Amino acid sequence: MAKMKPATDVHGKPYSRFLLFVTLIIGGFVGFLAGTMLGTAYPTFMSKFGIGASTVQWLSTGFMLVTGVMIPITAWLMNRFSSKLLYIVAMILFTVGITISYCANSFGLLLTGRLVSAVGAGVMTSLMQSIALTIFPVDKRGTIMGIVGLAVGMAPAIGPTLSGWIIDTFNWRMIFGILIPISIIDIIMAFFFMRTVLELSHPKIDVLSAVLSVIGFGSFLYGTSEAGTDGWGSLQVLLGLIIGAIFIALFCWRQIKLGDEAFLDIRLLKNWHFTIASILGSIARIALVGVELILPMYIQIVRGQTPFHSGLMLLPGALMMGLINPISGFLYDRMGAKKLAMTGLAILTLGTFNFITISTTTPMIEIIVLYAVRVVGVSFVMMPVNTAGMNALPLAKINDGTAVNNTLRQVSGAIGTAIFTTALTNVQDHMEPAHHLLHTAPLEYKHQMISAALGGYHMTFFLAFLFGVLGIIIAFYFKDVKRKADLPLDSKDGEVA
Amino acid sequence: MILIILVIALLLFLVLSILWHRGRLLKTIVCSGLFIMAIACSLTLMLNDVSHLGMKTVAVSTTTKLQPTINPKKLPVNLLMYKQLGTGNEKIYLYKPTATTKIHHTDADVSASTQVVRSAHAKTATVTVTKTEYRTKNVFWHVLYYGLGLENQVKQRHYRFTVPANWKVVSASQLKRAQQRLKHDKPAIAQAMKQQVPPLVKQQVAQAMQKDPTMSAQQRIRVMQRAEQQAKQRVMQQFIDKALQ
Repeated sequence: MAKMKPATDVHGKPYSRFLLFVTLIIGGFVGFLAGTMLGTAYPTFMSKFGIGASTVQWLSTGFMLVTGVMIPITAWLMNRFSSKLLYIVAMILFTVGITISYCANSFGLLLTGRLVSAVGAGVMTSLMQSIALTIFPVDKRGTIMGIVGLAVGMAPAIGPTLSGWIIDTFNWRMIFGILIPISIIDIIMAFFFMRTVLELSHPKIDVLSAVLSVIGFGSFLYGTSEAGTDGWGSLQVLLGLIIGAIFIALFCWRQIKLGDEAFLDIRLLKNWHFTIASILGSIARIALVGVELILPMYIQIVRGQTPFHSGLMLLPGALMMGLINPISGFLYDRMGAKKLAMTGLAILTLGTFNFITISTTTPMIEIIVLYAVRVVGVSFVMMPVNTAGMNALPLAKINDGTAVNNTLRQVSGAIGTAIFTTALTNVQDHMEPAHHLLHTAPLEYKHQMISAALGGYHMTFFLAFLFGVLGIIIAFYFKDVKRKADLPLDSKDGEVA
Repeated sequence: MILIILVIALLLFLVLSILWHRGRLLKTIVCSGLFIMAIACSLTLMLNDVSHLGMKTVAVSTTTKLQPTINPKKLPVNLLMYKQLGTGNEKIYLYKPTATTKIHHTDADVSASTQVVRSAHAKTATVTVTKTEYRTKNVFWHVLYYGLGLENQVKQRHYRFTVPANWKVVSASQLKRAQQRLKHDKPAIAQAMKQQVPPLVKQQVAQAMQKDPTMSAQQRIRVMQRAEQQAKQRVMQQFIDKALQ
């Protein structure tokens, strides 16, 4: 293997690639861990703060939405500010956010901390990928992205189990508390080892676009989430949805008007293959995160398992994902995405099908196995369609395409999860017994409450099943695209295989 | 077993539909077959969830002797206690098997039912718990569901308490009221003991002397002691009965 050239930053000063990379990996790992570790903690938050599923889900959907809208902003920030400064600021924001959550004595404060940390995590995770790809030579990229993938893939695998164990052993605060010292160490490491490695330019950012996207997607998510408590017909919900839709439309109009200067180049969605791939990726994302949020609630609330056990039950599925991702990547190179996506969606849909009739006595092993089956299905869809979508774009548009794809995925993940939780809350509220029954016949009340809860879960899993069916239908229109090496940069389409 | 079949069918479906390139018709047939098999396994599991497909119910009864729920040293009466929930239609019985010092309770679930029978013939209190359990219908279902833990799942429990005539069945709140009342009645109880016990003892001793005039002094003391204890119990019982009303 050829020896690597000594690393120098943009100012020509030497630095250690290894230590910089370790700093990045630690930051990225805690960022992803924070994003995925709350799932098993929601029932605890619900009882601690006396809130319902439709409120607690903001911790997930809000986090996803913020990281989603931060993607295009980060693309600009990376070109505008020194990567060292940006990384340290992002890490500090993240640490401040988790510290606020750690100290929070109300749900509002907990969510505020979560959203602040999401800004940091959003910048950090994008930055990690770009820096890792920049500082190593091309022939090392495979290995480096493999290590990055391991950090990224390990986080969702150990996150829910770790947080369950922390809650059982200490308390919910320690979920955030445990990340604080690691983050502080990483900030100190960044002071010494981080360098400005990304070339700076002075691009313009369209502030109006950023504002429009935050208001548009934020209001839409608010409307979808509030429907859980107020119902779809309430004025607040309708206003949220309408304002959201108007601002999203304005955002899209602004992007088209800006052309090449666009904040998020949504013109790429004119490319049919890219759009279909993005939709399929989003469906897979919704199917994954939506159920990841709902299932621990069922396991803990209906089955009375501890947070740690509910995390353990999701562990085999999460490990599956780490195992399958490289396999699906390998298979994609040989047979394209369509076959993998169709098969994956069929498995995902069948795996979800069983959950529609989940009861108080469904064998736990069945839940563990079918959850793992679902995750295998998702793994065969996500990465291949993502890559196939990118291949449908001309090379020069890859960065813009990645931004559009990731933003869409995060935002639709947030809105999809909100729809699931809203369905859950609506059905549960509708089926819930009258409160006076608690005082007259508490056993009957408990029985009816469990039936109501199960009704909610049935509806949610039915929706997840419908998403899977929708995915299969859309996948029929999906075509494998192979990029030719000499594809002109301004080509709108790749070659249809 | 059914989960293993499901996973193997899906795994084969996955591998064959992705990697099998030749013989399109055969591939379609085999892959569809495997997927249908997976759907069938899924449906079976779902029907088991909804209507316990492949299961039958079996009733298993066990009878256990009981000691009073509250230690007679604390309250000299044989009690079977229950807790009333809500407006009182739902009850949870607290009982103590003779073999243990732990208090057990009936299932806090709407599926549980309870019956209390007072028997003049019964010498000891007993509880007969009839568990209705799910069992697989035959070997086929037993093999198919092996490893899922579906065997012996309890559908419902029926508790039949049989208590002798001298036992009382009281609610927790009734007991609490009675204990407060007895505390309040302490002076009255002492007064009643003072007034009622000596004549009762005298009467008993006289009766004993009539039966056996040759009793020794020692024997007389023993009779007196027993008579005093019985008289005290009788007086106390009157107060307890009144307090528990």
